[in-house]
Amino acid sequence: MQSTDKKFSLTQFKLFLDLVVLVLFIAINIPGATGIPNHEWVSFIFALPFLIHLTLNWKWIVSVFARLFKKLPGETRFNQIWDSVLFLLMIFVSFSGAVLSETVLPALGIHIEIDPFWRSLHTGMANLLLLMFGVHFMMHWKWIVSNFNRYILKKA
Amino acid sequence: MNFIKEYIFPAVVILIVTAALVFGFQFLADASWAEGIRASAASTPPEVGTAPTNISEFLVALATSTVRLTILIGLPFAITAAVLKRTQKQKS
Repeated sequence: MQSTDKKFSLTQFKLFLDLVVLVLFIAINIPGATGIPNHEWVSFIFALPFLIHLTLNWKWIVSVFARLFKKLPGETRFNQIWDSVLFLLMIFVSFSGAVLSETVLPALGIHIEIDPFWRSLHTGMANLLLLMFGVHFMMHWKWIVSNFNRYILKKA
Repeated sequence: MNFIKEYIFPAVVILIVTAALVFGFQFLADASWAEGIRASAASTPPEVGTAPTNISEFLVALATSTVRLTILIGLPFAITAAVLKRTQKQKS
């Protein structure tokens, strides 16, 4: 028999997933310390939790985009625009990183001629992505802190 | 059925949007302005060098990366916090 409060809720799962996303995101962004091969492998692994992160927030995405041309609270409108640009940038950085792959794609039998054009854009856009992530992180800070206190620190 | 509607369908939509974006992005390399970036990138050494081979090299690389991440994530984080605090004060 399991009590209701012991059940693993969706919010708890989202919190744990976001922590995994954060840890992987930081690991990806220290290639100088981890080395390029690890940077590539972790980046490819990151795709799955990132997809789940978006899927679990799908209701919010749909509800906000359904009101695209309607009046929205300032903070919600900001998040809508910011998160959309962040998504675009994330896909761009992932794509430009994938076509530069020297380890993962060759290991999977895919050989691409590396174009320095993508290297330049990948580095620049990855730095921009970090800046944008800092804002995204702060915009959802209240949710993170309240659920961290509730589920991890077990504060009421 | 609910699981498909709530999770599988959104995941498929996200993957389709991603695929469409990736398809579009590949044409950037053919743009006229791409040649200039390609030429300057070809003559610039990669920002990330070889992986650390011993513990001291690793610690130095880790410290450098930590400083970089602190600036790039921490600065916008702090600025946003200050802006949010100010807006909330104005509201109340």
